[in-house]
Amino acid sequence: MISQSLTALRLSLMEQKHNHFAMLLLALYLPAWYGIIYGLTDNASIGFKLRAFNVFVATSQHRLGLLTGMLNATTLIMGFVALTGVRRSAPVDRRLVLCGYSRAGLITGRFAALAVASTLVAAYAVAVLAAFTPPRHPGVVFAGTFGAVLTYAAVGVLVGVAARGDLEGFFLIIMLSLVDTFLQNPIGNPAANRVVVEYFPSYLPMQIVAGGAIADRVAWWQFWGSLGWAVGLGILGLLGFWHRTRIARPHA
Amino acid sequence: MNGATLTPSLMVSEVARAFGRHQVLRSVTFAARTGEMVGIVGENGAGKSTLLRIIAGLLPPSRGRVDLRGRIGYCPQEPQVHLGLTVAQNLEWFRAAYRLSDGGRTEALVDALALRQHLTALVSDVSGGTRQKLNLLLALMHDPEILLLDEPYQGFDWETYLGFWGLAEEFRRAGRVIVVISHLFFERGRFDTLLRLRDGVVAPEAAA
Repeated sequence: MISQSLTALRLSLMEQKHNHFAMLLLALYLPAWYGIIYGLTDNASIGFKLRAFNVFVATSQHRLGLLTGMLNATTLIMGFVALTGVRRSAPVDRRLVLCGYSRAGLITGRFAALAVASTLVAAYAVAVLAAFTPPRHPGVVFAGTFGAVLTYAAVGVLVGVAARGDLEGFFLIIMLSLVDTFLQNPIGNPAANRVVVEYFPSYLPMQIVAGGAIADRVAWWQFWGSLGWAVGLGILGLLGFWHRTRIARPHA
Repeated sequence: MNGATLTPSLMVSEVARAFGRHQVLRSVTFAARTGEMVGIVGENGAGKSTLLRIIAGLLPPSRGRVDLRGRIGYCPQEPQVHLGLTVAQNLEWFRAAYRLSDGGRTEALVDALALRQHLTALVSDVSGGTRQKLNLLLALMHDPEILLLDEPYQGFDWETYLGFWGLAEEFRRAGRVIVVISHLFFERGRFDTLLRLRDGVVAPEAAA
């Protein structure tokens, strides 16, 4: 099984590398989106509440806009990558299992590849962000971004196995990412500092990212909490994936 | 029956399958022996692909049973291959699935199906016929005892089409059971047994 997991990991990563549209989104959309946000916001001061410490920190709209924009873009891209990966490979994965591929090995490899891709996407997003507004603690910002990206990779898998069509899947990912990250942003949403935002998947990542980029305060339990979102949604996606790759081999 | 023995390698007994209220297969029974080539014909929507998927193990029957002796090689109607990988990488996936340490018959089949020049090409970039060749190769590379082929030559040019039947003959001579879903009238003479699927049951059809 270990050998099959490693094969699945390597070939899944190759598949993601060949997802030219996702690569294009990363290369062009992310910096363009940063540029648009930077152009649309100004240097006016705005407060952001770090809820773990119950304090408001002041920053510029430029910086806060870029941070929420980064989470919006990366969650959207990773959700799309996971969704298209699951939907494109579903019939072949089932055929592989029919041909004797271990389901556990296949799923382990597929999920490990998404984790590796999430790491790379988060690192790239923080590196490009630094060109616009260098974060105080890049490692912390990376950790928060990774939590958000991994969560949306899990969302992509879940939607990929649950949605009936590609279009419905894309729509769900786009709407969830837009609503979720918009709610965390006090520039566009006056309720961003209210309790309601805590119930959304990008709440904890946004708190970590803001703490690391504009303050010197990090509550690491929030990072583990964001991974909890990813694991919880990932387990649901895994159950769906397990169900989708089932076969009914008739011979004894 | 060319070289067929009396031992059935494939036994389909009273298989039925419904999708909701739609009863696709009512009671399908037939057997195939080693070295036998069975053709299944029928109109669109008769349930030919459903029957093959049940035999392959992709679908459970609502009723009845399928007994197989040996490994299956299943070639679905639509190519089920990884579009985002090269031909060689697809072969690697399935080599791992079949646990083939030496590649089995892969190399010989790559040449027989004229796939060598496409090994490094992305599957999304190759023609439909080449995808179908890969689809077929993935079903044959582990030298299975039972071949289940659902219109395996769609998109093939004439030369490759004839090459496919040459391969099928080779497998038959090696004592394999071959079940082929066919639409083409002029192919009927190639089969040892020809079955027509109609109204959810199979009945023998006169070979040409």
